[in-house]
Amino acid sequence: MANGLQIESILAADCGSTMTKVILIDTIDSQYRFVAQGETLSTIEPPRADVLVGVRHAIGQIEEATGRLLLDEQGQLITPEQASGNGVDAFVATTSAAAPLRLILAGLTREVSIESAHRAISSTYALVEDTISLEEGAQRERRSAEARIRILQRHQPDAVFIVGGTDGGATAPVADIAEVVALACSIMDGATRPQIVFAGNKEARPLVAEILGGKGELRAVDNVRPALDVENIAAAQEEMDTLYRERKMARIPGFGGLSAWSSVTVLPAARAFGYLIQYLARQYGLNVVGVDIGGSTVTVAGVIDGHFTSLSRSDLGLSHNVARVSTEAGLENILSWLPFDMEVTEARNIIANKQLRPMTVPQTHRELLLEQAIAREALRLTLAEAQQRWVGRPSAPYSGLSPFLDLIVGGGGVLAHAPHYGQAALFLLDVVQPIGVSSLALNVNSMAAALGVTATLEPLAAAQVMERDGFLSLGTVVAPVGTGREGEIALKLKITYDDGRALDMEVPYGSLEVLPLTTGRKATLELRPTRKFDIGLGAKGKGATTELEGGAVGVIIDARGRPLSLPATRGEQQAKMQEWLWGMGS
Amino acid sequence: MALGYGFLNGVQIMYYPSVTQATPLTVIKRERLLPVRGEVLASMGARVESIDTVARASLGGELHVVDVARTLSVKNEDLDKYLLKAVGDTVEEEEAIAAKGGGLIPLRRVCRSPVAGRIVVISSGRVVLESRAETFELHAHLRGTVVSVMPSLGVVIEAVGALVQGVWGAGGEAQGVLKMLAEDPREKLVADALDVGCHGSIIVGGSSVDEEVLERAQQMQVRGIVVGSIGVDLEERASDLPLPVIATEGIGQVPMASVIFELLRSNAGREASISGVTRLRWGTVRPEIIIPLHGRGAKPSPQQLGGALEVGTQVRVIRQPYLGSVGQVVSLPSQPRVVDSGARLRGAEVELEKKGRVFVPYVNLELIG
Repeated sequence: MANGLQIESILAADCGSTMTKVILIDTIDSQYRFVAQGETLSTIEPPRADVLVGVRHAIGQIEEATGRLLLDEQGQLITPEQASGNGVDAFVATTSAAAPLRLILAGLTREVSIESAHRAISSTYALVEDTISLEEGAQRERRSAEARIRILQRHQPDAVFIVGGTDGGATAPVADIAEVVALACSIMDGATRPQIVFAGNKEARPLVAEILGGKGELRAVDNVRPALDVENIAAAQEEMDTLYRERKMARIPGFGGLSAWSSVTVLPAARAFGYLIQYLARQYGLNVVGVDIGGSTVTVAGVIDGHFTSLSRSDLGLSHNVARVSTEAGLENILSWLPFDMEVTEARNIIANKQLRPMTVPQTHRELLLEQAIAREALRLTLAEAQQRWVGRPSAPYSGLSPFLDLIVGGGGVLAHAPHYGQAALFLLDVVQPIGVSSLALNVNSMAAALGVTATLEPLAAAQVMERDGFLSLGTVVAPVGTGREGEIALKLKITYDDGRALDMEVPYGSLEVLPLTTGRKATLELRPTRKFDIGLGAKGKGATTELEGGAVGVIIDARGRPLSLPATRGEQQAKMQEWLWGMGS
Repeated sequence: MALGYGFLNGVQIMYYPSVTQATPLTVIKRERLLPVRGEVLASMGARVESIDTVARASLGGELHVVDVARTLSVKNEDLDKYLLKAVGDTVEEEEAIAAKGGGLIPLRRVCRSPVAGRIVVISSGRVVLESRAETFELHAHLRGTVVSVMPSLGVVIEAVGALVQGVWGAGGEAQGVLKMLAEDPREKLVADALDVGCHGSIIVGGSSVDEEVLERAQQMQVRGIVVGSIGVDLEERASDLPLPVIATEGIGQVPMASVIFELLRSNAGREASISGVTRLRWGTVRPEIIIPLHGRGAKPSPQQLGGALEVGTQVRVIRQPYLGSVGQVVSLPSQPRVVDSGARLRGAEVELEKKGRVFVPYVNLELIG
């Protein structure tokens, strides 16, 4: 451990539901750098059924690439790093391979306490199987006591999350809910009884404890709605995270071995991804949104005006949950993103086979673009929920539109492995639909989560690797907000390159233009929106001049309008998609 | 998702694909578990036939909650004084479960059971009744030997025989004689091929089926269907059938892999156990056909153990455009290659039957054997 650094080399593993990735970080000239990556199938299912097997396979690839021995003859990690250069000083890991926490929500009112409960669990890998609400009688067919008990019996959830009542308010309604849960738990086998988390009226805690006494393990945390106009979800979030780790992560086959190798707590990948987004926002004072489209989960983490939110949809994804995306989004919406005609049956066949073989990748152009189209819809559904959390922030002045974002980070295999960077950039523009001026970056080496957990061990390592090797800059997007006629000038601009060349341009409404500005080059961009359009400077028609750095795609002027609307007919949609893909160089 | 983007250029990496078993003779162990705790009937070391009952359990009926305290107008905590029944007691429909008054008190209130069943819980002034339960019998499903007994839960049975894993499955379990209804794995199974001779059999087709075949199979009381693929529009219909259906390749119109077709053909006329039960993750369960055979089980092959991909390994392609094709790995290029999608991917050169030498991304290959 020379150079005054305690930890010089780190292996960081990210064990996903289908793929396991491991990166090797080492110090070069006293700076932490990304050295190599191994990537292989996750091994949580039979016949291997041990997460560490996949980690070893990926480490084996790094050994082959670097010639550095990282595992001993017994397959154990060589640590700390040896004088010979073999081994590493530390190992860290993150995972999204476990099943999501299955929950039943029980509360008084759907609009208030249950809504807060939804927000409290949204950052954890969790699925709400059903909701029991006392207000059902007023709004829908009232469920009988038998029906409520059957809900709990049928789903056999990991936990029942009881909310309701403001602190100091009436305790009787919460007691009613607790009694139903107690009855259901009494009938269940001890091994299948759910954990009960109470985050309601704190005065009702003794009563709830008495009702549930001996029938289920109760954990009480702060009320998610201490007053009608106050929401306090931090403690409930923490409890859900703890439950996920105890009841799900810890049950991943081989998790004990992974945990034993790890120098710090193994983190859920979404949490680690969130850490990284928070770091970026804090370090540079930016509004940042990171999106990650995984096999079984879609995560959106964002910091808007200093406020962090994270939302994971554990029922959407591109492998195990691909059929669910199709069902929820609608196949027609998916097909509308294709630049060619595809019969519904062909698309359904591809989707069904992907569900059966979640690890496979598209080998044909048609299947690749279908997968990207499904990913667009999966992210669109997740973003729609996430955007509700950003309403009312100063940076979100336009209802129903994205806030003004400084940086958008895209991640997940579908983006990282897109054959053309223009495809990845267009994907982000189509779904995030940024407004104003934003930078686009790609988590091209799929190391965001691994760096997030690395930051809990050695923040400097995470920061240095992220800045130098973590993200690929795609470029800058300028997206004016406003409406006009197709072809009407939305924006005038002048780009002056660092070699003195300059280009003036008028951008018509409805168009998508790319100005070349390659990685390493700089330019000055003068923007003059016409009077109907705002580029994020507080008023329509207000212009500005900004310094830009190049990226893999360049400077993108997205004047297609916000919200983006696709043409009505399939033929027109296909033509537009093809035009946009060509426009982005794809 | 795709392997080795740039980082490992020029280096040949070890890759461990997923595995499908299509094995002519092997040792097969299967856990047979009750859905709820019950009684295990089979003993350790016992020889069992597929239809033998090895365990049984009582499955709960409908739940009924009776608010007894409210009916009798008593406090929850006082209910014990008025109860006529206890937890575990059986009751008949309209039988009194609690009563207040009587004797010197003229106004007698009685709370009666709405159903015949058993009292499962008494709590917070309420009585929960479970209507009369049904008995579930767990069959051995495969001919073999009980090698482990888990009291109250089930048994592990070990058998020797051929094993074929499917990809898509529906329905439960069944046993019957394997009957080939196709001459070629590319042949589509048609309704005309099903005659009375199919009654009680597990029929094996080539590539796929249509709705008429499914209906005829049900009419003929076929025990199970094994085909290469199932049409996406038929998934639901096949799932509704009272018999297991297995697709060995996936969804669409995909011929059965030749290695699987030949294995099944070589066992035509033999008794087989088929299970359409499928779980895709978190404890994967794959649909399967087991053909018990006499003889000693062979040692597990490298394929069964999930070894690394090597030159000479038999593989099956699990994604279009070569979905279902079987071949041998002929080279493992050290550099990623650009495939039709435009992506640069690591993969293997595979010599496929009838299609020749093609490049297939690693993740689109699996071991089969």
